[in-house]
Amino acid sequence: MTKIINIKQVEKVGELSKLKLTEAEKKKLLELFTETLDYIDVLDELSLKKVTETYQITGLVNVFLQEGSATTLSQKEVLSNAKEVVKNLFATAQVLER
Amino acid sequence: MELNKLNIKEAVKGLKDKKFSSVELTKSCLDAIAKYENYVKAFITILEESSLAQAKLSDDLIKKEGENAFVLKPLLGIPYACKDNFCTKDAETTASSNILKGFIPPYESTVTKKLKETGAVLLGKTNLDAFAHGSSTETSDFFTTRNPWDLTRVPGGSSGGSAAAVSANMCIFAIGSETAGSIRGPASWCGITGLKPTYGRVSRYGLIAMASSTDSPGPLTKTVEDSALILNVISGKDPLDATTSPKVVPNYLTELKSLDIKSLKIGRPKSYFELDTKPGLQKGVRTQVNKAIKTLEELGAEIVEMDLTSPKYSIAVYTILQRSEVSSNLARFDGIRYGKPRSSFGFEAKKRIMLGAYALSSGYYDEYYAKAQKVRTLVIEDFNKAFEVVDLIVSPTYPCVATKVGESDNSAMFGELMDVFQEPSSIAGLPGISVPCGFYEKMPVGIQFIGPHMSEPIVLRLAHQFQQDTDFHLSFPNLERDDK
Repeated sequence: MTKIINIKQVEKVGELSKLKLTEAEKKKLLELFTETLDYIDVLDELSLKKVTETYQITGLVNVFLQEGSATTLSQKEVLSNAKEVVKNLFATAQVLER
Repeated sequence: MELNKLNIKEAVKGLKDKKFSSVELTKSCLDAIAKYENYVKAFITILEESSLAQAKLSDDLIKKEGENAFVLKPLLGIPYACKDNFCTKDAETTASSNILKGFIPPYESTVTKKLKETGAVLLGKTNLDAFAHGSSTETSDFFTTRNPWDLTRVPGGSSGGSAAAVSANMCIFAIGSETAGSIRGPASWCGITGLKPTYGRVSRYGLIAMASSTDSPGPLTKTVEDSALILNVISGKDPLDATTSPKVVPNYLTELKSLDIKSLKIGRPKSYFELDTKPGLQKGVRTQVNKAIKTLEELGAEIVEMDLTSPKYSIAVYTILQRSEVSSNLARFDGIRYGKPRSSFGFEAKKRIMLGAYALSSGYYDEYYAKAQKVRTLVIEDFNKAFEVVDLIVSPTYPCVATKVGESDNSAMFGELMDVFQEPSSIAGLPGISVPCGFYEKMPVGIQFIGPHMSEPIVLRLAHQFQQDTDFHLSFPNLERDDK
């Protein structure tokens, strides 16, 4: 198992997660990640060659919602917690250059 | 009579017999909150006005329809506290996070909707570890809840506010959610009853997602009988949660009465009692749990010494799955549609999101996530084999009594190591209950019973029978003492 993790990786994962980190946080996270990943190594003791994954335990498959059975929120309700609303739409920061 | 100290059964009887009104009952809880909240810090939001208005409506209905009103509304006029990660329409829901501070959900979670429909009165929203990431309430972005038995200790978590509120008699019952230990754990440290239902028995709709493949809402109550009643109300298929089971919901209260525990075989797993993770099993906790097992034996249950795979593997599996699911679930917080920007996330949330993103990233997926899901299969098979031999499994709930505030600070794995006895059953989706079984260092100790999928009737029956024969669940902390 790859467990060598460095500050560059911490920064990269932070960036991918859209999180801003202080230098002190990066240092602490590196320490905690190393401790956690070290612990996880315990799984290497098990033989998993013939074992398949279980992604969910209910055994339910192809569960569909009956058409027309769900109530939806009004536009006003959906927008009620928005940071900024323009013409009844969510306003976001500019993504594309003009 | 101190009405706030009643359990649901007693409170319903009092309301039916018109010994007191729902307004009086609700006021009594609000008075207890006003008196002790400064020390216990169980609540994020107290809904004084709306709870009294709802209590008044309950009284009007009781006046009009008498006992009949309780047929469709078995919780009519009963005040309860709800963990603040259940969306409550028009009432602030924060999940104890700064990022959701001020969030007013435009919709109601299925659990709180069902409770509303059956007449329960919502007193307020309780504190938790932010986004339920923790086992002590110390990662709450707002404050740490204190254990009513000793204010220098934590109540456990993540449903710590709900557990403390029940233990301090600030409500008649409370609602929590468990991903792995978050109901049973705090119930054990606060000396009350906590039921984690089978995954899929209770709808997750409107519960702010933590780890979607194990999140299970459930009750925190003063007795097992009350837990059975709440389970009757909140269980069932929900079109809004595709993972809810279509299986018929039995009447759990009736099931309690058809008890013959003499026919029950209860497994005592060696690996749980000779724990190979740190901290090991506290001696005082082992003693109390073993005494409780003796009681079960005296009641006629057959105790079977058995083995299960060490829970140390489940800790690793849970750690990977939980972080991975968190990183995905918390991606929706973009600060545009609701909530504040991602810079408002607390350190614990950042830590879990990033570790999850790492475990799911290209090149590591097979090493972590896929491997964890394989070991999950082994854990499930392990339980399946065990349940061919025994009906239920018994173990301590937490490996030690409540820890001091601040003790969790320097451990990356504090929560996981505390939840060691819940993680295997949680990743397998099994039901479990924690009930008080004694005291060590003047702090409550909990014992838990775990059963196969949908075995709530037997789990509840055994726990109920235990409470019929013991009085640990009747002990509550004296909050008039002077350590405040």
